Amino acid sequence: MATASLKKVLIANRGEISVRIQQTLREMGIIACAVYSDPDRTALHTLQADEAYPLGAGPSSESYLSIEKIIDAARQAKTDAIHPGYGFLSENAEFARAVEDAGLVFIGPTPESMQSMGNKLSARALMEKAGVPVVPGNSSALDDLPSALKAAEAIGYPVLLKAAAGGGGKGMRVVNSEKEMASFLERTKGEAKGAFGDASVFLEKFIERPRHLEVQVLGDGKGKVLHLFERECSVQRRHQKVIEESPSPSISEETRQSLCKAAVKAAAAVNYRGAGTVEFIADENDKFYFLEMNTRLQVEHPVTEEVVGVDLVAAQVRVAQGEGLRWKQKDLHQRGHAIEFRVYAENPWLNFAPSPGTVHRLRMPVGAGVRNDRGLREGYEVPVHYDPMLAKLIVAAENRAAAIARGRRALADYRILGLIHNIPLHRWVLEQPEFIDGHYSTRFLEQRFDPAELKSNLTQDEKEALAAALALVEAGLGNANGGHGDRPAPLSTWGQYGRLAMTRKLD
Amino acid sequence: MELRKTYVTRLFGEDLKAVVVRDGSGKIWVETPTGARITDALVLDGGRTVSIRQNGRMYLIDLTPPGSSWHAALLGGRGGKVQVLDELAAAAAEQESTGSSSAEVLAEMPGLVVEYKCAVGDEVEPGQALVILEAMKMQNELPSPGAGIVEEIMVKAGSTVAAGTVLLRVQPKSLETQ
Repeated sequence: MATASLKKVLIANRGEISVRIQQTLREMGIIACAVYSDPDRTALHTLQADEAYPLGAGPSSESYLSIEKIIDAARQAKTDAIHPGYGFLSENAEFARAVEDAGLVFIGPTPESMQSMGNKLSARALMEKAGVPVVPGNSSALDDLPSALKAAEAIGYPVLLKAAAGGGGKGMRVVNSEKEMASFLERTKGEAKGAFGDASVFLEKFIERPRHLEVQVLGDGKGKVLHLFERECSVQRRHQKVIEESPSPSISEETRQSLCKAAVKAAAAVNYRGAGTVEFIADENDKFYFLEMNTRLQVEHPVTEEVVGVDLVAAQVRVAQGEGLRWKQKDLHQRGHAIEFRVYAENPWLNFAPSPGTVHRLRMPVGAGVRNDRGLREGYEVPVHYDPMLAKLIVAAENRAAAIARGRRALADYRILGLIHNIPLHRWVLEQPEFIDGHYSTRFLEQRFDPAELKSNLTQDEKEALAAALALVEAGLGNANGGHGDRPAPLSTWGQYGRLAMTRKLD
Repeated sequence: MELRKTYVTRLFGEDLKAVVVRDGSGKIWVETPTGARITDALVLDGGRTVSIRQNGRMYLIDLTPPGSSWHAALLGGRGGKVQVLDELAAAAAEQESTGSSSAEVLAEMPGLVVEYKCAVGDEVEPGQALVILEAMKMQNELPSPGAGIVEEIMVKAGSTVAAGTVLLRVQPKSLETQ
């Protein structure tokens, strides 16, 4: 590909990642075009885009998953390229091909490498050939219950039932027995069909107490592949990441090097172009296995950006422009420590059930080493059609202990009122010895988390202050001024607003 | 003349009382059950923030704005969903909640009722999955609140429901299981 600088890029995504990509595009002097579904007309990514184009109704299948509508929007906007973000069509080879067929640049890998990595089954085979270790499992799609039972027996329970086209923890279940297989097989297939349009599932040996490690890679598509070190993503619920950090606190320097080498080998095997992530699971003896390669920008990419000092979106754009990679491996280093907290509209008291609603009050933490990647704003109604992730808080500091302290501070400063979210969970995690010591597995939350522990952390004085504040606002009399001597304090403008509170509905 | 009004704040099932007092000279303060008198409290940002100074300590409380349908209060980022009632309303609400006999299974979030795993008349165990609700791309199993008999299914499978919709009712097996 010849060097040709991009002037206008369409982002085929929504929410925080669209906002984040827009920021880099603008810094590069590129016009950022958003797309939006009907309910997203008021979403932050639409409001602050340079240009925005409607896709249609709320459900993803009629908007963000419609290849035709997105290509149409790009034509209408006369863009040079499309950035897919993560999720939605980002790992859809057919989409990448359609973008190229429309004469546009796809900011991502070639459809061929997406295809070989996109299906977990074919990726397993490819990695085995390239000499990258893989988890023991079956290597063909399971059609029915008898074949699933047979395969599970050969591997040995517990096994992990996975969607071949899956990713991001969706379409995946641990199966402990034959009885569970009977109830989970059809449901997992149903979810896989609904989420990825492909019902094929397969089995892998379930590794007890695994850790989830992954390596960020960048390729120029001409044979050069660099790694940007690892991320530890073992704080998960329902197989979905909630907290990620870099560097990993749990591996030796030796393991780090062999892990990064294996990742480069994996990416080189598909002559990788752009930014990608090679995921591994590690057992208790630090033995690691290839899990999958995500051929796109990752949700947790900011922790790598903070530690390595590279703007990954800018790197993606430069590769897409044919500029290649401006670093040598020896130029890249990890400096300090970064932790990301995913802020979800979900209920930690109710088994993390999604909890949409309206953001009535929002205040985000600021200060040195604090980064907010977000798709929400005050007054925003969180739509039910999409993933419940609202924002990501990323903290960076000179070492892990300082990053944890910064995380505690920033999370305490964070205010979202109007819907139930998981910030209390993050604050709980940062107090747990396992997390502080850096010795935790992906089963940490499942085994240790008790919602009852979230409730008891207001002191009696604080509870009384809280009740007093609510009573005062409810009474609508304005400020308490009993401490200001005999002279009654004049009713302030705020006090008058407080009077309006008398009309507040109680339901 | 001194005017007093008692409010009850419900936070995580705990009732917290506070009395707002206005005396003849127009002074206003809040009394707490432990006898503390809060005399310096500022209502800021249109009732969305309250700053309390008590014995030199500062308490910054964030509230959902007046008029919103969802009430929450946070202090130092801790706290949660609250209900504020005056004393009379609180007493009435208390009585109402002890009156019902059958347990309801609610849609905790807006979503699609995919499938019922039970039928009217079925005997069910506590925690048994009764219905699958799909929301935000996840299939969620809603468990039975206790041991009992499925009394009534209120919403057809395939329907889209709002948060708080009662999907079905379970008649408890015995008083002990309530």
